[in-house]
Amino acid sequence: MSDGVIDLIRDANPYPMELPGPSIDNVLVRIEQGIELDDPGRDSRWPLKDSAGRLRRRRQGGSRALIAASAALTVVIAIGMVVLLRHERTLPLRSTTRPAGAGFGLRDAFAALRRPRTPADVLPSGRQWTSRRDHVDDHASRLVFSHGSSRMWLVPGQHTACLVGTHGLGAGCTTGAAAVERGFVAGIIGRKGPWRWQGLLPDDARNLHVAFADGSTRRVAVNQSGAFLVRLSRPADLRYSTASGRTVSVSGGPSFRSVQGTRRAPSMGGGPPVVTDRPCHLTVRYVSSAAGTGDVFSMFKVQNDGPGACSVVRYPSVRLLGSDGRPLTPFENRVDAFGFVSHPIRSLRSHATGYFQLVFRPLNPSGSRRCGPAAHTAGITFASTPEIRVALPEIGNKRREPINPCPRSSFSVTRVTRLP
Amino acid sequence: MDSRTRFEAIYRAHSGAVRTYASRRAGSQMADDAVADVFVVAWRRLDDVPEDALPWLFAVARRVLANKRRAISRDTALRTRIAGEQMTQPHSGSLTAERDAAVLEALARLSDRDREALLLVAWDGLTPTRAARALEMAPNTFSARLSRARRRFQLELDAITHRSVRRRSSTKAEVRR
Repeated sequence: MSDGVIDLIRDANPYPMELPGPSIDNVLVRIEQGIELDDPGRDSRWPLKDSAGRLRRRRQGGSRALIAASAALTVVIAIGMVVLLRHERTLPLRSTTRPAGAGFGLRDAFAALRRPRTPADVLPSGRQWTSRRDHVDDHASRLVFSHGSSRMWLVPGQHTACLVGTHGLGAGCTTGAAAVERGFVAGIIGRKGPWRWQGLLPDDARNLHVAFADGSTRRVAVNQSGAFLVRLSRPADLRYSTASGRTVSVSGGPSFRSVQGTRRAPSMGGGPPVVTDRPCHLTVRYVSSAAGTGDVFSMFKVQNDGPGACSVVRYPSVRLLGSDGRPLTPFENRVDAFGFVSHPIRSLRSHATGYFQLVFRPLNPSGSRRCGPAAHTAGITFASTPEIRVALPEIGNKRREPINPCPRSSFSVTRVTRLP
Repeated sequence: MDSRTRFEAIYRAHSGAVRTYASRRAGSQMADDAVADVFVVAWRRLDDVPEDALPWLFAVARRVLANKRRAISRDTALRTRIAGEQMTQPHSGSLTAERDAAVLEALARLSDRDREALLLVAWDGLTPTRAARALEMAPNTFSARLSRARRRFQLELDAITHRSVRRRSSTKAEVRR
């Protein structure tokens, strides 16, 4: 387009030539903030620096070495992802023994789906796997397990969920209800051994262990996403308790085919396998809010008043409720958190405190209008507890420091850390 | 094409244009920061980024810059920024610089929307259709806005030029006296 006015303005352009693009590193650092990455990456730029990952890897050093060594030896015959018996489809989504308010969707059942998506969460290109027809959403995948070259991703769908592994780990899908109730478990046998169990359990599954033929048992550790991979020198069954109190026993062995019977477990408390059996009691209170660069950072304090340690290993799930106790417009907490930077903590011992932040935008995109309504209560759920309701302070009939993310906007939640 | 590859391709193709866009409106100091913010948004919303990504990125950049300006202060809005950038240009004092200063002042007097419509076309070289996409409006609406903005700009420019001519002639008269 060219005319007198446009030409005049064009001549006054302070930057008539296009500038070179800045380094992509600035972007990667931004994406990195508030997230953790498991993926050591396949090229020099992806993923980003991973301080959280380094700490975790140090902790997991022993099992990593074992797995890395045996990975090279194993030619795997995948017997299958599990998958639940057909009658599971008829199980009620809502179990009476599940902690109240914990939510029953995939997102509520699997911590990995509640954290921000990172470059490591992207499924590798060219990876073929089943059930594409079931409307699973590749773009919502999350990396849930990473050891050496072995990786597993959780891929949610509307009524389906799939666990997809790198080559050798297989892939499988199940119904959303079944995944929420019992997770994914697969038994895999190398041609000459070793035996291997792998899978992903929902947040509130517990007591995961392998049981050998001589009656001995061994506890199996799960990572922060609830995923596990255990290699054994001899066959063993895998057992764990689900949120609804069922004990699932999966038989291993060359003839392994399916999940076997279940029975009611004596203990039915919630909590992921990493939590001890001593009761913990979390209380949460609102501390204060601060604003900066268009975002508001609302700080919450978490305290454990119980005698046992509480797991706070995953991102808390936050619901905002209005004056009538109903959830406000559903917000998606998917964005990266630009909150305080500190190492997240895994558990809160008795009488210890931690802090986390809710980060949101209170103004519309043009910045001309405050959004509303403000939340009266926040419902906060950790993996090990039922939902905790936190009343937000008020002055008169107004909120003292309103938490009012704009409708259809997103907010983010940070992990729990030691320092405010 | 997987997400990473696509994101990198978008970055390679458009990061320079976005940086230039931000520099033109907010100065070079803020530009790199804004570029990073824009592409973080692009990564998060990669599924929303259309095939012709540049107008979409400009739309995001506009919002990012608006947020940043608000965060700093309203006093550092476009007028000051542009004036500041322009003062560093080499030929200040020449006729060209005088004319450019008048153009910038006229631009600064326009409403944000009018100014943005003109700048997308004149500085960023977008066609009206793409510029309409960057402003998230229908092409016809954009054409109307552009035409209105052009008229308003001309009026402002005339007023500024008239004022400076008057000032110059009164200065000459004083000198003669």
